[in-house]
Amino acid sequence: MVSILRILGVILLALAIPVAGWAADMGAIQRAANKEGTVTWYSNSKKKVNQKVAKVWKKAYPKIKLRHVRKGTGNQVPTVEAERMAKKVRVDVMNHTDPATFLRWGREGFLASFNAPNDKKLPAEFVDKDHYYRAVSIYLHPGVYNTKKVKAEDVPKKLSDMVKKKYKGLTVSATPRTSGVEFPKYLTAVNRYGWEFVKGLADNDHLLQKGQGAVLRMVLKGERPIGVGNTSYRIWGAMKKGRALKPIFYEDGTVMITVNLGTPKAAPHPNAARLLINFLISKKIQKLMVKNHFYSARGDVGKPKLAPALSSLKILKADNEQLIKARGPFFDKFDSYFGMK
Amino acid sequence: MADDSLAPSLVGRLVRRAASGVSELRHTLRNEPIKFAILIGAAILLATLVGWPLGTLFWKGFQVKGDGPLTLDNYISVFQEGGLIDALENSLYISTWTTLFSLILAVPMAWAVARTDMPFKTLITAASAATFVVPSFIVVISWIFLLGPNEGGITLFLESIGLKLPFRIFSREGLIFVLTFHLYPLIFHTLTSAMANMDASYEEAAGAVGAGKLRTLWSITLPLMLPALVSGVILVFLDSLALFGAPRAIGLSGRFHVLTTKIYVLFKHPPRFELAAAAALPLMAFTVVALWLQKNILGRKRFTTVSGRAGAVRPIELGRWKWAMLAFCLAVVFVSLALPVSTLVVSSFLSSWGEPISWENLTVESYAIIADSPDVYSAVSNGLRLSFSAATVCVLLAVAIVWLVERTEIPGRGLLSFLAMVPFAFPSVALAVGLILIFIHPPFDIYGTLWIIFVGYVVKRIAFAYIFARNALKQLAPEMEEAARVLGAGWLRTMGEITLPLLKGGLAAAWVLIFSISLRELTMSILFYLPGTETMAVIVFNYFEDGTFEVASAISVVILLISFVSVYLVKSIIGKGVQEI
Amino acid sequence: MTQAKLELRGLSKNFDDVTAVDAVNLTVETGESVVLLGPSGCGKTTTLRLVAGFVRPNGGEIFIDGEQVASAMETLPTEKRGIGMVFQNYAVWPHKTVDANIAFGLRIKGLPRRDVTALTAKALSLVKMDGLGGRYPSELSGGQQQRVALARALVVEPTLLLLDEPLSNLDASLREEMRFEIRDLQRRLNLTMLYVTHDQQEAMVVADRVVVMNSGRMDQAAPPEDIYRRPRTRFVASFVGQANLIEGRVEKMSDGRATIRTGMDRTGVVALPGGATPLPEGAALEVGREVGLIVRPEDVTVGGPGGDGVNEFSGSVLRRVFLGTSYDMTVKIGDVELRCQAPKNASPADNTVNVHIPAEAWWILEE
Repeated sequence: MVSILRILGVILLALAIPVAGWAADMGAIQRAANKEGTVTWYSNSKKKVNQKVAKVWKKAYPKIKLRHVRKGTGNQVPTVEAERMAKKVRVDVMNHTDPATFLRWGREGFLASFNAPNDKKLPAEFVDKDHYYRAVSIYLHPGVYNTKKVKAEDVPKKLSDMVKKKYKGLTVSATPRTSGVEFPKYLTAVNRYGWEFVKGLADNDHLLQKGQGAVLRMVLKGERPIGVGNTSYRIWGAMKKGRALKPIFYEDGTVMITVNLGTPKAAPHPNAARLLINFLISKKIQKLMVKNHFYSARGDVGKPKLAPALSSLKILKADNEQLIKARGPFFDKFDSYFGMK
Repeated sequence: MADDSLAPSLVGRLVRRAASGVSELRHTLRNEPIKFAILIGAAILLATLVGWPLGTLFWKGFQVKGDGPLTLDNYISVFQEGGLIDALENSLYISTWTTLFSLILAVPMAWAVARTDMPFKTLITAASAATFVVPSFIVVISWIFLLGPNEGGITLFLESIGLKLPFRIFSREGLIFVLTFHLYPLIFHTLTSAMANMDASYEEAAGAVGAGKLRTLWSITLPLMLPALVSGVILVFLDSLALFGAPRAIGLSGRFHVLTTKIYVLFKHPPRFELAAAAALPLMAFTVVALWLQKNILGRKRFTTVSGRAGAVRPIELGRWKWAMLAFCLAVVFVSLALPVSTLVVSSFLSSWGEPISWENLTVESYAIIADSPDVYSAVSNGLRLSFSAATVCVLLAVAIVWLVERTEIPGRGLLSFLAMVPFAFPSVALAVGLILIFIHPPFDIYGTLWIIFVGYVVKRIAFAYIFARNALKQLAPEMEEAARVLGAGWLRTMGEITLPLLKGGLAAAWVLIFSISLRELTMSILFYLPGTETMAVIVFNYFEDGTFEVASAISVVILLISFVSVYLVKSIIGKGVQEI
Repeated sequence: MTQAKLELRGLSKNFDDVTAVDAVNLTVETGESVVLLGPSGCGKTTTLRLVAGFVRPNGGEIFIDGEQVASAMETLPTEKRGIGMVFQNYAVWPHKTVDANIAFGLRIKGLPRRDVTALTAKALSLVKMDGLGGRYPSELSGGQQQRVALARALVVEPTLLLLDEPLSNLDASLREEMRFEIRDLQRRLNLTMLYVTHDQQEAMVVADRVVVMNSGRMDQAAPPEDIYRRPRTRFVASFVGQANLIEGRVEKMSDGRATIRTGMDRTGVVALPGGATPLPEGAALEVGREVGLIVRPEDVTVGGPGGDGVNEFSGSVLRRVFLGTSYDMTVKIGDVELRCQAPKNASPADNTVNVHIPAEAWWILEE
């Protein structure tokens, strides 16, 4: 009896899921989501930001429990892949900083297509054409330096300055192999300056770290006062707390990274997942993201306080196709310049 | 031909052995159903927790993309991967030296603590156990800031008095340094627990013949301690091979790979878990070699030192030398625990991390923030509960398995040893994936709960308990148990009243090690955790990643305090009991 | 205490390819003390462990009081056999006091606490350990620990007492004292006892019957005197006491005596007790047969007055060691080197001596 009801329920829910490409009927989705009662969200954002989002969510959808889990990109992707391999996905909504993985997930048929009403509010370049994913936030990957250890006149202006002898033994960055953010930066750099750039860094006693947090620690501590790149929201967050840091927006261009947002086809709470996606790119939440030092793709929510207008900067974007294709060989070659076969 | 006659006799022997094992199994089932249920239950539990997930990973390794047609490609491609040999060389170099240096630190310390009249023994023991509580990533961060070539505290201090560090922190030697001071407690604890059990009459006999103290240590005590020594060496060697966090942090900066970081590279971006088992094969091979060596070095001799001929354990009087020994022990504890922890303590009181220490820069704000975060409380409670139960279950399960392996002829004992040992050197990430594959489905649908973290800890650390319990049982003459059986006690009662109390020293050491190492576990916890199942290490890690280093340090300090106090409490409770013997 | 009778029938045990116990048949009567004697690896301890139930047989049966407790198919667990056992390494539990060690078996039996206390005290006094019940084993000497082990085994009134080299870890004087004490206890309590040792003197003191074991087999089971005087095999002869082993061939048989040609300068005449031969049934002692003989050193008369000329030999002294009460002398007679014990006044001036071996001093081995 119970199982028949369950099957009926599943059928009803399935009917409630709208056909791809069509703007969704959020009313029906919300009713179905209320029945699901819960939604699990893996987010790479800080726990504090997630908690603020959850507060707003609780007011808006009191019947649906938002279980938010802070999982950095490096841990999130393996977790999701493991669930996927076990053929029992537990996550409903995920966002992380590795656009190429979202592109791959879409192509492999892992993601559900969902034309969220709020997708319309985002510029086309920030929404996947099949609506598998969209940008929940944007950040930049400028250089960073310790203002107490580096004099203003000594600050590098261009990314290509980093290979100058002057900066020997002073620079640090995360390896593209484990820090998803670094890959687009190094890919664009190699596209522009060739592998000479990477070789130059390696010969300049450049220090590699595993992630963005570790890079910022090195810069703050002064062990390596110049970071070749770090996430803009981290830099501004630290500056707001009074840390002696400043970003370097390179004259030869600063890479932009989108944090994408999507839901698996096999999500256990498909309707609640869709509700959450639309919610996360709503004006209210996007304003919240901006307050926490992220740029928003939406035009109607302004920019982070410490951030320059995007239009004032030379912005670089890596090509997703190239990100997927170049990946393995690129990492191998990168490692080999650093003496790691 | 010799070969022709050899083969059938070998087969015949194996068949006879199996037959005798099966008949023992049948007898046990009929005559001692409780013993049968416990032993076989333990074997099944081990097979389920370890054999099933790892077996699944291996099976996936034979399939295209993990669920396609059968293939050998995954295994072949792993071994064709460039740089694997270099990584292997680095791993061996680092593990060998780490093991050697750990021996140099741990053997004198263990002897001083277990056999002499040196003061402050409990403090030294608890401190070396607490070394284990500090999460590896924090240890590495601390060492980088102490020994960093540009701004490291120790580096600058040495420069100010005209000295230079003998090695770079970002190098293989730097990693050996960090690992040695991180892992030496493994040898220290295996040795102290074995030495405390030793029949003092052996040493007294040597003393009567006129051998000096050092000579006695060298020619009597150490050879008797061989099983414990070998186990300790194996634990340090395998653990330094299997570690990932520290080699990754230092290896990247020092521009070298070890096996684990190479394996990580292999199945990252996009994750290819079907390669995991194949890539872990070299590490498993070392486990097998270690088990085989242990069996063959120690298998033929009897090392029962708890023989039933009780002798009073009189501490060796060191005279003035006890202060020298104490200085040595304190120096090791200072470097391994005090130095890294002090950097944390300092950081936790800074208002602006990275800036020099000054009055304006000091605050307790970070601690106020923690006091306000409910997630810290729940993480502490989760961590303590998980570690407590994992340590307890590991010890009990290991005793049952070890008893089955050492005291019965039931077939499949070798496989059980293998299952207990293999996860130890298996990369945690791959292990976690294997566990998810199994424990996300009914009937064991525990993914997302504390239970899967608990299972992860048990699986990863059962090897500790297994090795300690096995050493302790090897030291215990079977007659101790037989004497009870003759007097009418059943198996369970004998285990409860005789065996377990007599194994207490070794089991307690295993318990404390597993408890402390579980408190700090990060790799699996961070893949497994969902709301409500954060552990201490996860919270610290996330704060560090968020860049709030002062708060992260403060939480680390609080967690360390809690861990240190619990280890000290447990140690002193158990320590009392051991001295009664 | 009601004591049991122990029977082993065709008992066998293999470890891998090694046969540790090979078709052993043995009956220990109620109240009898039987000692299994042999060198290490002869299977005596395995036999004991089979009886205890620590090892399961590959063949044969064990009966205690007529009840089958072990066969290749079925074994009764140790704790249900009602036996007591004392181990070579004492196996007193270091984490329990002397009292607690002794009381363990009584507690298992579920006796009321008052009885446990009373019986424990009684057992302590039985082994002369009054007043030491509160101590821990580490505070006792080796001998005291073994007394505790003995008390612990006896207090539960076992129907059968097994002892596995119980004295071999003690020093010599204590060992001698304890032998007699154990024998005394066994007699007093009329214990059925199976005792394993490699020490022949211990065996002589403790045993009603000695069973000499060799490579898993029983070579001979007989009272101590018979084992010494009438060994069945070369192994028994040489393992128990000193013996001169002499090979020979029967030349003549008459009047319950056999004349045997050996490597010595002349033939020897051997008395056949009761006119019977010790050879296995069906293998009659006949002229032309090769036999092994033994002569105990103390049965040889050196230098003394000759008898009828029979069994008198002459040889040269190879070695002479003064032992206080006597000389240990090796005399070469023909091809045979004969060890003999000469009185201390029998110190021949030159190197040639006359040696007399009475006809009763020869013993023909079965095999």
